[in-house]
Amino acid sequence: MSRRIFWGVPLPVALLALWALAVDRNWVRLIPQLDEVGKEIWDFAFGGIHDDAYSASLLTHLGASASRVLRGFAWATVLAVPLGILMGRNQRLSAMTDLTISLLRPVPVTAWVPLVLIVFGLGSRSAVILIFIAAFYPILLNTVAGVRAVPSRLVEAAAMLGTSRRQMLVRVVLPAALPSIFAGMRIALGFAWVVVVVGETVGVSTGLGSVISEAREISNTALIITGMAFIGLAGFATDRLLGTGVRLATRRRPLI
Amino acid sequence: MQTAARAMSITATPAVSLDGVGKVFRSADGEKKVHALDGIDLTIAEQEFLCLLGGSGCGKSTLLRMIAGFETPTTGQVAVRGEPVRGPGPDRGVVFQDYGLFPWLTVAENIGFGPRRRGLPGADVDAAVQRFLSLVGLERFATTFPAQLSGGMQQRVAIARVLANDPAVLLMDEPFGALDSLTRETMQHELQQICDELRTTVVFVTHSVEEAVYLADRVVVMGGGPSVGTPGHVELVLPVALEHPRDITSPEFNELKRELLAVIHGTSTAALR
Ligand SMILES: Nc1ncnc2c1ncn2[C@@H]1O[C@H](COP(=O)(O)OP(=O)(O)O)[C@@H](O)[C@H]1O
Ligand SMILES: [Mg+2]
Repeated sequence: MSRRIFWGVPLPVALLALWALAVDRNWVRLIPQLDEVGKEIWDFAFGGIHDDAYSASLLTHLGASASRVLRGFAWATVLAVPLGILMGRNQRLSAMTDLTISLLRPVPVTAWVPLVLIVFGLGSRSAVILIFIAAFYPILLNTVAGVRAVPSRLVEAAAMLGTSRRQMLVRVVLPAALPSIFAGMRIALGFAWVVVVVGETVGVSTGLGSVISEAREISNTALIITGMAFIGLAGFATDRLLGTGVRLATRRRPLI
Repeated sequence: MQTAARAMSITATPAVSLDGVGKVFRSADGEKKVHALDGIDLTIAEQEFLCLLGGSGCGKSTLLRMIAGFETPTTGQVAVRGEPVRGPGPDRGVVFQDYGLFPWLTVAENIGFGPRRRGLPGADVDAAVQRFLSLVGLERFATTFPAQLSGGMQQRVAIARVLANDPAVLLMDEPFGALDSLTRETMQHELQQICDELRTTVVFVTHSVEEAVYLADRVVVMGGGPSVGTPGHVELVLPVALEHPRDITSPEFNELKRELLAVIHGTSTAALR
């Protein structure tokens, strides 16, 4: 593990150095220098430098974004996993829903934004709904694929041991499909952080997305980059948390 | 001695009865029909160890899967203890060549799976797990996961898992086919001891003549199969009245082997002509 971290360090350091050099030599315009961004990050997190509306506001904005991400993601998981399991096992249900899903899925979340804003109004709820829409499909499709790939041998083994239909879903199909379901959840969580920025661009005054779009209005590039940095960190952290949560939930059991 | 005791205990209702059983598969592309089996009449007595012997494609697995309830016969009847088979159930324990253990469950949990699904109280489940763990000699591996075990040990778990359900019949489809020959011999010996002790009824599929003669009270030689142009069918039924454990080097043993080989090669050369 420490070896992996060791080998991971040089590339970002080199990229930061290139950034500093590019700004210093005026290869790029309007990009702030590293120390300026560093100060902005510090001020955004702890305050005491600029003393403006954004000083020491990290927790407010991060909390607002994370709460929207987690709510939209949780709703998507709670609905998509059971539906995916039923669709994966039931030919008829799958035939009934396949067409609808294939038609709805290609509609990008950005295309949903105007409609969702009109129907649900400006505010947190619209952001959560947009996140839900984005997170729903990867979880659903991965669950269906995982369920269809459950080895028929395990289903036969469980059946000859006296497993009822319902127990089959809970005791065999779900655990056998878990790796695929988790893969879908991971993709969905990544999408959720993408969409929270879109969802917070309009109509909400808290959240890292709203910080970025307000910073754009006042042309504060250091603050834009600060917002971007914290979204990246938050996405990274929740991805790790999901991985740890999965390991705890499966109690370190070997999966298929 | 064991064989004689078994012969005496044959009762009125057979453990398994197959009555004019046939199976036609439809090929994947739809229209073409595959006649896998035709006209199988067979009764298997309680406590009998029956081997289905034959080359690949003669329908041994199909026959076993119909007794298990994984496939439905196209014609005829399959009954277990007088009850027509309708789908798989815990009265027919199946041991697969590839084990089919649940990888996310420990050895003990795999063995307890059947009793648990059938709603036995926790104490009874634990007792069954302990009993069959020690029967197959895996007490030390109760909390091990299947992937950490050798093939022979995994197959022991699979056997213990079905025995924990106290099945009317044990259905085994080339269970030792994936094991190395030394492990296979050990497993054959242990299986025989277990079945003698528990008086289990067994239908055991194999393509090894030696395995059949070593294990069986009765060997059913099957022949035919879609690849040779006739549906799979019973070629010969041969009782094996040798004492357990059997000496594979004895003249009697080899005489039976010779007899079976002659039938098997006779059928395959006849089919080639
Ligand atoms: N699900 C199936 N669909 C179509 N054909 C099948 C199916 N299962 C088995 N068969 C065919 O039935 C015949 C008997 O197969 P099987 O019972 O597996 O033979 P064995 O176990 O003796 O090798 C083979 O020709 C096989 O191709
Ligand atoms: Mg077979």
